[in-house]
Amino acid sequence: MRARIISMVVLAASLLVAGQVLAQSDGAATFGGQWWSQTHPEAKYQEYRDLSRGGYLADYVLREFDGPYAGALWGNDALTHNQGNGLYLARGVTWRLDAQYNETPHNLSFVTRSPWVQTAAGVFRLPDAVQQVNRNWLAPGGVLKDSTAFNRNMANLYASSPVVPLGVQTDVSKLRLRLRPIKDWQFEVRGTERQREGSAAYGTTFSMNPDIELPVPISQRTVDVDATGNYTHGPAKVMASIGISDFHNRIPTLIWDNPIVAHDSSWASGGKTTGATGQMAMAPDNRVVRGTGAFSVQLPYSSTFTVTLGVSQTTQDQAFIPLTSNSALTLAGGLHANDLAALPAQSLNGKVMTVVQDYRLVGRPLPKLYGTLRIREEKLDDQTPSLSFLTGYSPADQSITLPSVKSPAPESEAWSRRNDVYGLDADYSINRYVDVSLLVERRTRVHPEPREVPRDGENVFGGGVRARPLDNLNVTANYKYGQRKMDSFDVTTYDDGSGALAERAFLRRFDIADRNQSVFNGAATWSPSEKLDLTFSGWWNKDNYKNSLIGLQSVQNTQVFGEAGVHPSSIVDLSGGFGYGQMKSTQAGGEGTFYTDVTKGLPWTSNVDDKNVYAFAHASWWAQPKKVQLATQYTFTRDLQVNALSQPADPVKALDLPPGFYRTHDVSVEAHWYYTAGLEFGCRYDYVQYDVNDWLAQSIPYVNVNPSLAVPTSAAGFFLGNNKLSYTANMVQVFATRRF
Amino acid sequence: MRRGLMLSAVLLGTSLLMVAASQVMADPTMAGSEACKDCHQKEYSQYLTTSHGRAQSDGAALPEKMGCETCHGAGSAHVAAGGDTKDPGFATIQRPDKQAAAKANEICLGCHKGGEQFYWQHSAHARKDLACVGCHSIHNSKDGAHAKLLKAETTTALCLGCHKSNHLAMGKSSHMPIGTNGMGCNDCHNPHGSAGPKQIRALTTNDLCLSCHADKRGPFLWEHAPVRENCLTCHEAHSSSNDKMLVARRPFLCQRCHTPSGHPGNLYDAPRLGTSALQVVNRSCSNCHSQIHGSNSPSGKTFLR
Repeated sequence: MRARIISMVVLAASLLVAGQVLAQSDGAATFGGQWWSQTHPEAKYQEYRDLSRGGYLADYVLREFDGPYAGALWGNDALTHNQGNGLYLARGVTWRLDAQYNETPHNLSFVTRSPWVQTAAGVFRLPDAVQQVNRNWLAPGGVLKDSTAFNRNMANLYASSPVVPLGVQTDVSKLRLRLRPIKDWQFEVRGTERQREGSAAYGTTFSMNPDIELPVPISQRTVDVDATGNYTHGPAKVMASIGISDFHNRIPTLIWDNPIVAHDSSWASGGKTTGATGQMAMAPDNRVVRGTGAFSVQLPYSSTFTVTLGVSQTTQDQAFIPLTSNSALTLAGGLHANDLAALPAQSLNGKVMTVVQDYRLVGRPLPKLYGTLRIREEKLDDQTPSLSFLTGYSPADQSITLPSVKSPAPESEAWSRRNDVYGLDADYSINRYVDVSLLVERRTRVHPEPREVPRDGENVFGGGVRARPLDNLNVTANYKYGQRKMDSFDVTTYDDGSGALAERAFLRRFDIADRNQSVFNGAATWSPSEKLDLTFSGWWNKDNYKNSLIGLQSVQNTQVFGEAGVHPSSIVDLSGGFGYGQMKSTQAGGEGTFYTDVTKGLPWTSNVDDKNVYAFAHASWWAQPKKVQLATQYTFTRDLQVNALSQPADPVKALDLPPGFYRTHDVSVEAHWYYTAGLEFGCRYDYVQYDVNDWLAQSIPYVNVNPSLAVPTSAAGFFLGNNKLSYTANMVQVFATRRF
Repeated sequence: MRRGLMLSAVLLGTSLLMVAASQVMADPTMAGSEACKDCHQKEYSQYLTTSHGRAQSDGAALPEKMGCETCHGAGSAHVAAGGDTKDPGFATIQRPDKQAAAKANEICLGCHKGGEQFYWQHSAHARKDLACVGCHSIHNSKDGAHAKLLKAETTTALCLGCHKSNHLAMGKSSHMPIGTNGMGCNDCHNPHGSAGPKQIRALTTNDLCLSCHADKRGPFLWEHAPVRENCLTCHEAHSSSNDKMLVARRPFLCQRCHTPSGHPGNLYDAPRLGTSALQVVNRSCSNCHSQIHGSNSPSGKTFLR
């Protein structure tokens, strides 16, 4: 803390002195102190920020200029983990160098615990003694002899475990050099380095015997370098760019201890909880090489034709890990399953090519007509070779699933696709008060294989009106309707390889299902006088999957937002706004094995109703004109979710899930005293009340056991206790701004 | 006859006056920036501190020499008016903020043709007749370092000035860090237009998302089809009421596409929540299927590994 305060004082003083010394310079700095408290350590309060207590440098800027030369240094929240700093140096239009450094935290939880200790990067161990004790409670066949004692033992272990905060810190450094060395030419070179460090909750499983949630370390680095050239000559211009993006994950593998098993074993029948450790490959390193070329030319009738071609290649060839970490498991032919030699390849040699072609003609063929013709093709060609695991595989380090008629050898599949769009947009000005618009679009998608819909097409029609009935009133309204239809449906893709269906025949996945889509949006802005501004906007859309008997059936989204600004005098400003959103969705599923008959088994439906509200009110008052200003703001947000379930064949069972909500009240008051033109003092108080009630994010135990099961570990979870907490928080800030 | 002579005289007089006026008004010439600063000292001083001011002394690569008149037009008549607003010459000076957007934008696009503005003519903002000076202020920008000459302190504040309903989106419980130092609207969107959908700074939606979330890029040994199809199949772009900006809660999100017998097809209702079923508590389906964006584990076909 002391070092932080000293650093900030030195930095602030440097800025102030610099402002006095440099003849052609200006700048400002805001610094002060802040204190805050929070009733419960909920991470939401600091979700994307790092709140310090004590001195802080809120922002600073220093600019220097001398003829063609200029430079600027600026930043916010200096020396915190959400600081942003920028710098540019330039000479006229010949060159300009920009540098940026930003830090962004994403704090997820400050209350999570785990007894698993990370002994090396990505390796989580339990004390051997714990495993030995638990192991002693296992009877032959994997059944716990004393499940109550086991659960108590694990609960005690969690209680004595340290808090392991969850969160990811992203630090981004950017460098950009722009050059205009000669007429008509522009060049740009950009480099970005993105570092992500931290830990996030990750689910691992021994096939639910048990599930273990771990604070998995995140340590990743992505480096991007791109170079672009532009040439302009008369009505034509050309742009070309090449780039590379390299991703490296410092945690390529995750390994964790099984709390029940100390040594790998293999039980011939009904084998459960046999692996002493679990293992999985984390995000593999990858590389993207990309290039884009574009040509644009101005044509008669104020028209412009532009063609863009983009090509990229993504490759990934990270070395594979073995099928399992369980040394006791063997494959057909006697191979050990944890031997890399059992794999069909040692790495994927994955390669995906993406090619985008985009053609657009925009122009004004008639004085009152403005139109765009566009054609776009987006092709993703996955050239990754397919691998067959003929020796079997180990889905959860517990046992080996050998290929059989019922369960054929898994074979990896490449997913390619092609999307085409042909569109026409037209705007016609009827008179100075009214414009109308038209949209016609044809979209097609091709999925070579193995998706169940090889090809679909969508026709979209739309229209709109933009009116200015009064000088200070603008009104817009647009509507479009799209009908997507699959050319055919291949139910054999639901075949699990043995001739049986792995999905219900009437399931239509919503991203490729037949869909009727209606979208309406409208907006109005009205300033009846200089003392009043009114704005309103609304959005409504409905996606209807009318041919989907199973799966998502409809989604309806509504949003309205209104805002008013009142300026009764030169010293008072008032504004307020209210927004309401609602998303309703309906989906159908079915329990049981009746794959080809939607009426049999236990069909069910789920109706989800998400509602959210945003409201604010703001007032500011110059208590002493140009000297003292007071301001206050109140903001309210609320998410409310209601989930209604029904199952006609078993209505007693289909009890609705409890409704949940997230609600925030935020009130602030602040005062500014403009002592001189270059010196301002201020203070601010902020009160936040955050209330949460959500079954999915609360009451999460460390040891999750189904109380109705005789053998708890057959469906047990050991979680991090990542619970959302209601809280109130208070913050006081005092600050001064010096401008020079 | 007399009436005819009078009418002719009036017409002749009017014509002569018009000719005289047109000669006065005809073709104002370049007066040079120095001529402007006597009356517009504040604007001129401020202008010199901006990129446009720098271009005045180092703008050899520009189509023409930079100065006040590059944007405001030839100013000799305006200067000659000497501040007399009744003088016809006074109004000959151009004010881009008072001109029709298309005409005002022509001035800016004369120099800003490539780079960020390459696709301007195809942008939604151009189609809606937005003027460059609607967002940028040459003489009174508010972004601290005047690096972009914005009319607001940040790009996000500028965008929200018109796209007000995004306040509603930002109020949802799960949202992007928009408005923080690390992220603004313009990190994903180019307001000047792009070759991608929704004016994004990439050719495809997935390319944009994966530029930051490069760990999801793959290609993976075991792919999850909707991930390859479009990130927006499962995630909202700006915010949502669900964890991780999902379009719906798990397990119901997953059950929109997976309904075979056994746990993927079961109805996860209040009784199952009461028995702490692993498919409904905490991370729901992701308690086990954590590698949902794709797996590179040889045994990861079902995304458990």
